[in-house]
Amino acid sequence: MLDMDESSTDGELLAAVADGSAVALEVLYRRHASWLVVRLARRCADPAVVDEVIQDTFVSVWKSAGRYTGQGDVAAWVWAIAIHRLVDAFRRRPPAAYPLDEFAPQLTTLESAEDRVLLGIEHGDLAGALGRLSPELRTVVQATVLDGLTTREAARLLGLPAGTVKTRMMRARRALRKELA
Amino acid sequence: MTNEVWHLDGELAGRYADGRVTSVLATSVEQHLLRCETCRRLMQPSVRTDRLDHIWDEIVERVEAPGTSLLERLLHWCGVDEATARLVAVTPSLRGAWLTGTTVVLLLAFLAAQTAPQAMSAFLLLAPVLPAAGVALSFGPASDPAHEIVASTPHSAVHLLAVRTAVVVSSSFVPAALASPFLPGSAWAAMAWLAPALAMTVGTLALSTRLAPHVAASGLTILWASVVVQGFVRHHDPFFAATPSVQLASVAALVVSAAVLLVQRRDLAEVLRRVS
Ligand SMILES: [Zn+2]
Repeated sequence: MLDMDESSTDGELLAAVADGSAVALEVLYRRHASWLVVRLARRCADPAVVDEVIQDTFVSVWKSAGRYTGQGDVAAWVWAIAIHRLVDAFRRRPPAAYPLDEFAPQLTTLESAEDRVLLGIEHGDLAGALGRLSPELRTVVQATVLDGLTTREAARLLGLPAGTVKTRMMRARRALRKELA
Repeated sequence: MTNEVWHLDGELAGRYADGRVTSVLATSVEQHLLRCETCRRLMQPSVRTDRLDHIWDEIVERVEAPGTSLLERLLHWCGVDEATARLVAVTPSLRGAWLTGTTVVLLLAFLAAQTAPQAMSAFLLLAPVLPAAGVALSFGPASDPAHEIVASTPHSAVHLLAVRTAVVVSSSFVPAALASPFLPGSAWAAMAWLAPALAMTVGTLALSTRLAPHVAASGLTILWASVVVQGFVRHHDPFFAATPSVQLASVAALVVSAAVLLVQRRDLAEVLRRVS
């Protein structure tokens, strides 16, 4: 087996993990754990739950590395596992409330320019359209469209009834369609 | 706009990590992070090393724990590839609870059958239901920890489903088959659960191309229960399930289900990907 180190690509590391290399798993962990912790923390206020979800995620990576097809970014694949592990954690222990954050509104003008550069490339003026949605609709779009969760999973993540998620998604879709048409 | 030239700087990375950005900007950052290793590395100062070390220690402990590896090794030994063996080993219905439940229920039916032939109804009722329920439980988003991984690979999904089904079904069939020789009545009557069990298992899979797996299994369970209970109530026959008409109907249902499954096997892959 090849030696796995910092210079290996994510794909090579994942292949080595599939062959049972714990060294490769650690390199992968050191490379990805930080941003996963940060991103999960935006969806879960309890650091203990975040730590648990990171554990579950890398145990899943260990068990299912062989299932990675080589298509798409490894980062996106790992994130898909992480967000589902978070939903699982909320299934075991529902969160108190999902943070509907509207931080630093005075920076909005500056930020919307940045948003357009990023989201504008792939999604038209999605950033602008998202910004004009109400916070309730926006969190639902983020959980379903951007985090790729099903209605039921999004409901669990957001602590809402599935029916509410479905209606809000319908309203959001209508609003976005009008905006992006 | 041409290629993406925008990246995070240390200041924005810090603000994002601290939760001091609007959710729209956060969405932009998150979409970018998925594709940019340089910017992902900017998140490293935001999480303390001792916290990461602690999480890693826990991961090592869980990864190295033997746990389900006996089943994994057995499957691997039977020629199943390692990745599939791992995923099969995490099948919910294979966990101890399910297997214990199956064994206990069958044991009760078997003990009852020893003391009162009427209790054969209970055995013949339960033995076909358990493998079907096990199959329904062993896939579908509601119960499957590996679901999103399976769902991302439609081709191997069917392969995995086949292996899982084989394992689940044999885990329910084996105790029932072992109990059969000790049951009252003729050897044929004691094996009367086999054809309905196969029909219900394959039928659950076939119906799952159109319905949620647990709905399919529940529907077939109600149907089978009504047959057995009717036989007992109306004909006072605990061996009603063993009568030629019921057996022939089971075989017919099995053949139809198998044909449907063969034609619809593509849809079955879709079941694994189905959104609620
Ligand atoms: Zn970047």
